Parts: sequence; C-alpha cells; structure tokens
Amino acid sequence: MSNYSGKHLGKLAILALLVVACVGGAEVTTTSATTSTSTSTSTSTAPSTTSASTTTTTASTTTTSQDVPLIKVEDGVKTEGLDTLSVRVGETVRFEVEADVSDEIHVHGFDLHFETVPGQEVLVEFVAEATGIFEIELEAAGLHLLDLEVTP
Amino acid sequence: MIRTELFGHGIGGRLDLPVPLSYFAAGAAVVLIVTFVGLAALWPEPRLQDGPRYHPVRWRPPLGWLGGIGVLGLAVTMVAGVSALVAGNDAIGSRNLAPLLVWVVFWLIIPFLGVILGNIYTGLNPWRTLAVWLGLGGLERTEAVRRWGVWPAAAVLVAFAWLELVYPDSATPSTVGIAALVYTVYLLVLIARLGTNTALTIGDAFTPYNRLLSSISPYGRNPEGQLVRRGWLRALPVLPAWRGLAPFVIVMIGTVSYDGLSATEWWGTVTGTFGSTLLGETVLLLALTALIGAGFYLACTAATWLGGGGVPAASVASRFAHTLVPIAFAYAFAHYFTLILFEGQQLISNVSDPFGLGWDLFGTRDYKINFFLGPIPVWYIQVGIIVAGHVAGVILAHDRALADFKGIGAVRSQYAMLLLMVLLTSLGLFILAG
Repeated sequence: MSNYSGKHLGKLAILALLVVACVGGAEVTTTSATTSTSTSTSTSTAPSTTSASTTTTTASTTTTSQDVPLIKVEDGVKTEGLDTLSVRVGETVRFEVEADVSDEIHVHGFDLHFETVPGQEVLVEFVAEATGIFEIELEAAGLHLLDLEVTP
Repeated sequence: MIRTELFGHGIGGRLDLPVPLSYFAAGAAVVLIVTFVGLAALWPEPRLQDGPRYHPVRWRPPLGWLGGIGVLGLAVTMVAGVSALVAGNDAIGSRNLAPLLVWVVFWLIIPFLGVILGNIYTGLNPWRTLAVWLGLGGLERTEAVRRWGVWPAAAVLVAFAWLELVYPDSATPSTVGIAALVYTVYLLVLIARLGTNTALTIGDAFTPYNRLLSSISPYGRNPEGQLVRRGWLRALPVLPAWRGLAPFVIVMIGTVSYDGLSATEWWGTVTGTFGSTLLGETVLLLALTALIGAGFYLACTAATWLGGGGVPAASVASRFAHTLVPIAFAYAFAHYFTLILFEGQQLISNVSDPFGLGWDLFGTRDYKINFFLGPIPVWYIQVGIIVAGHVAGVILAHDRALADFKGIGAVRSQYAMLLLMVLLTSLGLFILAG
C-alpha cells in the first residue's frame, strides 16, 4: 500500500521537474536579452544635474563620460535622485551622495560602507559581484537611499 | 508610480531577483497539468488516513544536549539585546548575534531542518528545558487543549509576523532581546499554570509551527515516543485535530504572502502611501491573511455542496487544513532560502563579536558573505519547491476527500479544493515573479 502511493508521488515529482526544466531552460537565453534593455532605460532616467558639480570631487568621476547619478539628502529626507540603479553583474556601480550630515552609506549584502561629509558629494564606487536587489541606506539616519538591482 | 520601500522587513538587505515570466509560466503550466493528472490518475481508495507504518531507526542520536543549546541561544539573544542598549550600538545592521539567532536560526533554519530531520524543535525548545530546570509545569491540564486548541498560538504567530514584517525596528538587537525576554516570562507563567506540553501546544506559536512542518519529514516518533522512519508527508493526515488548526495554517500562508507580495512593485502601486505606514501595513497584513482564510472557507463550503452535503463546512476546514501545510512550507522556503544561504553567513562573522563590542573571538569577524548561488539555480529551486508543495497538497487533499466523501462526491468535492490550491500556488508564483 505505502509503496504504491510512494511510486505515484515520485512520478508526479519527476514529471513536474521535467516540465519546469524544459520550459524554463529554453527561456534562459531570452531573459538575458530582456534584462539588458531594462538596464539602459533605468540609466537614462538618471538625473543629469551632476555634470556641473562633479569637478569638485575626485578625479575619477570627471573621467567618466556618462553622468554619475546624484542622490541628495536634506534634513533627514531624500530630496533628489533615482530610486533604483540597475547594473549587470561584474559592472562597476557608481553614484554620488550629497548629504547635510556626517553619516555612513551602507551597501547591504556587499557590506560596504562609505562616509558622507556634510555639503560634499561623496562618490560611491564598487564592482557588483553578485546578483540580487540590494538595499543602500544612510546607516545612522536609517534612511533608505536607493535599491541596487544587479542582473545576470 | 508610487514606490514603497521594498526593505525594512526582518533581517537582511538583499532580495532575490524576480523570477522571469517564462519560469512563472512553466511553473503554472506544470501546476495545472499535475492537478488534472492527479485528479484522474491518483488512487481510488484512501491510503494515507490510517497513519504511517513505523520503521524503527537503527542509529539513535544522543539528543539530550539539544535542550542546553536551546537555552544557550535564548540566553545569548537576551544578553546581546540588552547589551546593545547599554553599549549604545543598537542599530539595524550592527554586528550582534541576537537578530540573526531569532530571524534566521530560530524562525527559519530550525523549522526548515525539521522538514528533513523531523521535529528537532521539541528538543531545542528552550522554554521546555527551562521549565524542567525550574521545576515548573508538572501537572498537565489537558482539558485546556480541548478548549483552546491552537487559537492562542495562531494569535502569537500573527504577533510574531507583525514584529518581523511591520514593526520598523524589527532587526535591532534590543527589539529581539526584549521580545525574547517578554516571551520567556509569558511562556513560563503559562507553563506553570497549564503544564509544559499543554502550555506549549496552546500558547507557543513555534510548537505547532514546527510540529506541522516536521510532519512532512520521513522521520519522527511513534506514539510510544521512539524515533522512527515513516515516509514523507505520512504524519500530516494523522495530526491532532486541534481547534484553530485551519486558522493557524492560514496565518502561516498569509504572513509569508504578505512579506512577498509587499515587496512587489505591483503592491506598491496598488496600496500607495497607505501601504507604507505602520497602520497601513498592519491592516494589510491582517487583511491579506483574512482574505486567504476567506478563500479557504469558501472552498470548504463549496466542497460540502459538491460532495453531497453531510459534512459541514467548518468540519471540512479542519479536516483539510493539513493539506495546506506543504504549500505553506513551499511559500516560506521559496521566499527565505537565499536569506538562509547568504545572510545566514553573517553568523560566521557575528559569532566572533556576539554583543557588538568589537571582539574577535574566533578570528572570523571580517568574514564577508559569499554569494555562491547565481539567479538561475535560485529560480529553478523557487519554482520547483512551489510546484512540489502543490503536488503534495493535491495528493493529501485527494486522499482526505476519498475518506470523508462517498462515491462521486469524493471526486466532486475536490474541484473546490483543487481550485483553491491552484489559486494559492499561482499567488506563490506571482509573488516570486514580483
């Protein structure tokens, strides 16, 4: 009796896995194509206000041809900047934060910390080595700055 | 578009990438096929209702030390929580063992391990061990179990989920430390009044929670208390018919659904700014759980009709509650397993500095998380477990329908339950697809 039901269970499980494998596997190639389009659209929505002010900060920012997105924090509130930054895995994440307080920018998951200096644009730059959606926040203020989306 | 905050739930600042549409479609297709194949091809006589055949386990692991480990974990949680308050390092994400012990080890790792190994929580339960050490809870007032069932435990589970998913400071050490302290006092008082087993069944949300999930496991104890092998899912049809069993399972599904659903963009657009306030989140958590409960009771009413009457809907609800346990597990596992694999690695660094005081006890303080699993295997596992949970649910519901309804009614009564399961599984897949 118990063997019989066990056989059924096994068969159904294998059937289920097979169909998932077939349909899912065929689509893996197409998903990478769709994610690249979403990356380009989200970077184009980045505010272009940074171009004038980047000269005051480090040299590495001025060498980049693309605009580096800026996130502004005033009186404990995010007043300017994008909500999601999308990159492909292995690419360099680059954005600036201008806060009116001394605090720490915490990139969760990667567990990176960057100090903010009041009134200055601080460059956050690192290579995104893992996929997922990562929270980036102003640590002591507990303020959510943006989500970092790293796609394959 | 109004975008609410994705994070701020429990622990961890990483979410999985949404499952691509193709995986969602594949999963949904399999679910439908399996459901209809199951209806047509599964056995015509009940097979699981008389309980498992027990085979003694040859190797008997010494389990006496589990109780001490549980109490040690509870003690570290309370000390770490209070010390964070005193030392002033009580921030989300600060190096401290307490949030990890509660939100990762206690809430996820122990129940999930139980699904494979059997109910290890019975041994680990720190309050059971504390009661023995303090000489509390000798006399069991079993009539209280008949009267209350697991209704109070279901309420505790809602409160715990609220603390995890809604309360803004859920990941700070002091929150979990104080919560552990309050919960310990509450349970010890209850144990002193009602007896250990009675109090834990009624009032400790994690006792029925671990009992239900570990009933999936092929390992357990026979009625004489010996360790046995019994086959997957076999213990579910013979779970005690506690009052409030169905609501308890509904809470399990509803709270995880809320966690997943509230992180989707769709949810952000629908609930707007209301959905990101404390009151709004509380209301929506309760409303979603109630909605899933209403769906379940509707399916039970329909099953009564289609099955030819005779069995009242409330009775159908409690008789079929166990069939939703694999689905509840699949929801939780698909949602949280990367959190265990990745954020769980913080245990390695935080165990060296358990109280956030700058220690480096084991030289592992600066360990960084290794994200060793890419998105494609993660998507396969997520969709695979949701489908597997559905298959298990369909089998259990089929067998229970054969036992409770006669003749053609047994087949017809399943239409309602299968439709509910297809909807629940689709919701699970929808959550994954974000």
